[in-house]
Amino acid sequence: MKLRKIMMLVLLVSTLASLTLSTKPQLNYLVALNMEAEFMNNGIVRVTLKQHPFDASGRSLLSNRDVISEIMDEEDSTVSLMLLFFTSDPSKAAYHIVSHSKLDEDAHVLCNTGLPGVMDQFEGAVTLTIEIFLNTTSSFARLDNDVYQIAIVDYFTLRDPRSWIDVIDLRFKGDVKLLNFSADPSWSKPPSVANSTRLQWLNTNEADAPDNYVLTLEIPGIVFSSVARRLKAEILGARFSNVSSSLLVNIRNTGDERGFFIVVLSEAGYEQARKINLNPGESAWVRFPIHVEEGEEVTVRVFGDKEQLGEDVLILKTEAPVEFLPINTLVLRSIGLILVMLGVFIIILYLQDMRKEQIPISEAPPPMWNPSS
Amino acid sequence: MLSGKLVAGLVLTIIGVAMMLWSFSIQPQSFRDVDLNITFKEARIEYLERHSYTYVLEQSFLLRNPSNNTVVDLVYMWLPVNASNQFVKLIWTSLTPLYRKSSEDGVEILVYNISLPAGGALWLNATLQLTVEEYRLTMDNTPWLNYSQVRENTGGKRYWAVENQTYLSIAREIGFEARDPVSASRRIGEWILDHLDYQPMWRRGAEQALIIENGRLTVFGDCEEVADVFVTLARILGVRSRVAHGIYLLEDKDVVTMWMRRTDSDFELSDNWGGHAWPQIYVPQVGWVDVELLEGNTVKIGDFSQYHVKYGFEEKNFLGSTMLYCQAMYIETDAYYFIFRRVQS
Repeated sequence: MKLRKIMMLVLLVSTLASLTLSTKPQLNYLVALNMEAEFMNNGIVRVTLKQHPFDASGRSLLSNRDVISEIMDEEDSTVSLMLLFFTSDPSKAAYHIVSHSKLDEDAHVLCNTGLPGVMDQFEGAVTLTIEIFLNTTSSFARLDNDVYQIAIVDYFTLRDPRSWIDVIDLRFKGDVKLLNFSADPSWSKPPSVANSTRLQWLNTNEADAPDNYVLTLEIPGIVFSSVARRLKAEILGARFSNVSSSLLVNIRNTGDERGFFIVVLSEAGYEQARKINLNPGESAWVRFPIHVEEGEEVTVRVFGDKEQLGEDVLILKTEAPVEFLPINTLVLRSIGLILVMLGVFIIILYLQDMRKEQIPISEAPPPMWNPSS
Repeated sequence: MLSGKLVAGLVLTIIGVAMMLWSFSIQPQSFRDVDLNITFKEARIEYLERHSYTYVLEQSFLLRNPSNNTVVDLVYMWLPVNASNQFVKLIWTSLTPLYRKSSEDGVEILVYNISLPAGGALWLNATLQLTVEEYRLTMDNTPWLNYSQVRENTGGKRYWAVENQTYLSIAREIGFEARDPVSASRRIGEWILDHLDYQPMWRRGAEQALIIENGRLTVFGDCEEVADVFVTLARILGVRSRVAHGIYLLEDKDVVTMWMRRTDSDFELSDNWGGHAWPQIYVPQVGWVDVELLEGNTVKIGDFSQYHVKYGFEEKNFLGSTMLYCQAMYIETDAYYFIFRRVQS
């Protein structure tokens, strides 16, 4: 069950200034949430979220067009919430939308509306269906051949302790076999349906609802493709400054994509890492404090997308201070431009002289007649 | 035979073109050495000052059932957290909690099962012993995080736009040259203060916090935007950082009372209401270190006053944490009272 419009208070209380911010009156309503997840042969989970809004008295708000359009308009954030049940970072999960948010008059949604221990049934729901590639989620771990663990988190309760998912219905299709499952915290209620093809929890309140669901599944014969390494980088050089006890490392992105690279310096007693974001072809220097003496060995490695892209072993040796050019590139450029202009000017003068020298006599003006001569 | 003028013109032009081409091909080969006065090699971490202040905190919440039926509801009361430089002990609570709950980011919540008749009201009270520490820490030559910490703890979240090109450019400009994570954090803080237009508002996150104002890039917002922008830039540079939420005591008195009450359409706050958010950085060998940018218009890293009370942190949760002091699903909270009585300093 999700409570909307509560953020107004959250934001108000965290404002340091003591002034009172005016707010527009907004409709407070709750949303019943039923989630169905079908685990399929191909390592994909098809997730359908059914939402039904209602007021504090338990009355359905499905006929309230403002509320329904607000729920439908929030499809992007709803998709993120659905992904967050399976992954800690939705931006890295591969998924596609099977069916966009739509009003389904035939759907049923179960929810507790305030009467302890009772699930009410609402008719109709706003439904949204997506398919998620499990191998791109953080919930997914391979335990053995064909055996995988999937950890599902009730993200609603994680974000706001008052919220929870009213019904979670997990189904195992085709050759997918449920080998084991668990839920926590320990005081949460067990599933109302538990067999080899289905697990269903009916959660009447937040205290009874599990926060985490952990499944052990057998998915036979599946080969998950791994994403080809795309980021490439090289260590261009390094420079040790004994004066400032630091090592400068120069990294260049040699691939075709912009991305984050992690430069790792290993010295005795420390491993340090710096993160840099580089465009294709771009290079940058990063600085590390050094904790060992001159003459000792350090290793520099560069990583991208969790993979090592390069490694250099260095003996720390002080170099002469870098002599910077007495003039910077802008001055150099300006002098060059002036020389070019001067050169062109002299060439033009030369060409004008040439032209004067080459004028034929026949084209010379006739001599002026002077009657006095 | 070529004229002298032509030769001179051609030579000058060729030299000029060559100089221009050369200037375009020049890449910076090294940073200039900064912080040249560094003479030590080992990391140096030292508390220059540590002073504890103990309060008895009474937090009271007026609960009301707005419906026409008796309601049995779970009521959640947030507590100040036990964390670095803050120690909390629950002394008494007016009702027995059902259980105590902790979030993955360390938020402490007491959960009560409360029944209220239609229109009924009830005060829910708790008394805590709260010790906060004022400290001043010097940190030199501290190493950056290791590889796994950078990979796992410096990614983006809803409020921290680490892939945003503008933030990436700013981070590069101010942070690549930084020698260690503390100096990088100081540069970030200085940049924020130099570009800040402080305006109280609803939290918008780092993505929306940067605007162009009078042709200049500006951090627009209040303490939450300042914290979000700081955390974003820090994470881009590989510094583990998070947001702390809590209360700032605006008065230095033996007894401080602050409150918030529901009105017909809004909330009324006491003049000294001090909801606050500030960033923290994780420094190896020290742990979480507080960063305050809004106290005295200066960057304070590990220079923390006794006026901060921590109620929660935001680090791992993708969508951020919800900190409501005392809330339920059906029962409403009409008033919030916090009384801090200083008992020892």
